[in-house]
Amino acid sequence: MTVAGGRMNYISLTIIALAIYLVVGFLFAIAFIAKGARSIDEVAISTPLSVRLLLIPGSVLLWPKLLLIWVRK
Amino acid sequence: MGLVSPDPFPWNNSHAPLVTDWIQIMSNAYRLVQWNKHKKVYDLTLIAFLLVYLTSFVGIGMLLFPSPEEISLPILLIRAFGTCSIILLHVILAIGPLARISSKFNPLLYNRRHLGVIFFFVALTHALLVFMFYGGFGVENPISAVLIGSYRSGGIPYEYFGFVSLLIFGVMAATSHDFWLKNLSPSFWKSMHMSVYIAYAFVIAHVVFGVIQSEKNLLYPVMISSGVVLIASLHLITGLREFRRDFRFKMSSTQSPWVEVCTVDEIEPNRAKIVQIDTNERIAIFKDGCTLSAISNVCAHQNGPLGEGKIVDGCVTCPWHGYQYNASNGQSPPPFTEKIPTYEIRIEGNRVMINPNANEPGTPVKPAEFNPIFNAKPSEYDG
Repeated sequence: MTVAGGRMNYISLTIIALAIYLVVGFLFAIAFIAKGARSIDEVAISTPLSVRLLLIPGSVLLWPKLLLIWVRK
Repeated sequence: MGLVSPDPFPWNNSHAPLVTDWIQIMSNAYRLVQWNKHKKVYDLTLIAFLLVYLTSFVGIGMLLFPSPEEISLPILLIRAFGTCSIILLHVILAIGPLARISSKFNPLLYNRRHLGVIFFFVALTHALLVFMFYGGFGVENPISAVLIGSYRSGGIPYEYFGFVSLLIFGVMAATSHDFWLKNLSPSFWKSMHMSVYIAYAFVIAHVVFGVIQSEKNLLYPVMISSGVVLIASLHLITGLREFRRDFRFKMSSTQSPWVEVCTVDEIEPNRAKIVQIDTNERIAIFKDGCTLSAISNVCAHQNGPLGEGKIVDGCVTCPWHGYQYNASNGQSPPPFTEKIPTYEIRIEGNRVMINPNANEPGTPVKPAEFNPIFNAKPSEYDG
């Protein structure tokens, strides 16, 4: 395999890994806005669904950090 | 949560929100957007700028290059969104230092979060157009197609720099709501959002390497280098000003923790003097009536410089977003829950003494009282 070919494989693998991370993050985000947000932050209990939907992109991207916070609570 | 003060912003009143427009700024319940008249004007102005810029860019481009063989419409759109996002990024990065140089820029800082999110969507549109135009409708997914294609071409793969910067901006935009600020902790959130400078470096590399390989026109290199010089100069000027302005003091070599930092008359009424003792956090000493109180200079919201704010209706008010604190205990007035560290303070004659060991955030400290007749400028208490 050439150097360029090897790099192309790395690129494809990185993009696949990124996609898996985001899919797991999306599944986590559904649970997080349904329950997690309200259990780590009492202010979020009275927060309407429209605001909690706004938390989806951040939950998808930062799900490992949020999972840690949620578990520690 | 409502504002405590009818006018907590020390801005020029022509820029400040009207009293009747007050809505919640500090909050004990999250909202989608905490709209007020000022934010609406800010956002509408921004959208008007975007529309004018994008249509002008494309319109002038089509007039200058009428033949699609020279520059096609998709490429004009890609460049319009790309250059627009770079201009917005420079404005975003310039607002911080400009607001430190002059409080007249504080209204721009107030709603910088919306500017940041809008900037991200402009940059995202640029990226989506690139992925669809160069990598769409093939066997490979568009992102892989563009990134691998740049390797196959043999040049410097400048698309990577743009892609990484877009990911960083995406994280920043996705975590711009106050929920994230509170739950990721202000220090983590602030550190994460300081990565804008790393992303900026990637953007510059993206443009420079892209231009080197595809452009003969000097306009883009001149524009981008002017932007870099402007941003670097503004940050340098602000840093030097702060360095010169800071009053630094050494801890006493004796057992006493008290450090003399200034005299009572050096502090303007309802304002603060900012001091730094050794390498500790900056301290803001506020004068409220005939008392002095010392609190951390760092706002719990977004690390705003509290000492550059003023006392409004008995509360220290951050110049950036209007967060308020009681100077005698470092606590936001109920029902708000923000807390900042306080410091022991006393007055000896006319000299102000500080114990630089910070108390836990929200610890009450008895304000130091002074006699206005002996301790203050005569002009402060005339009549």
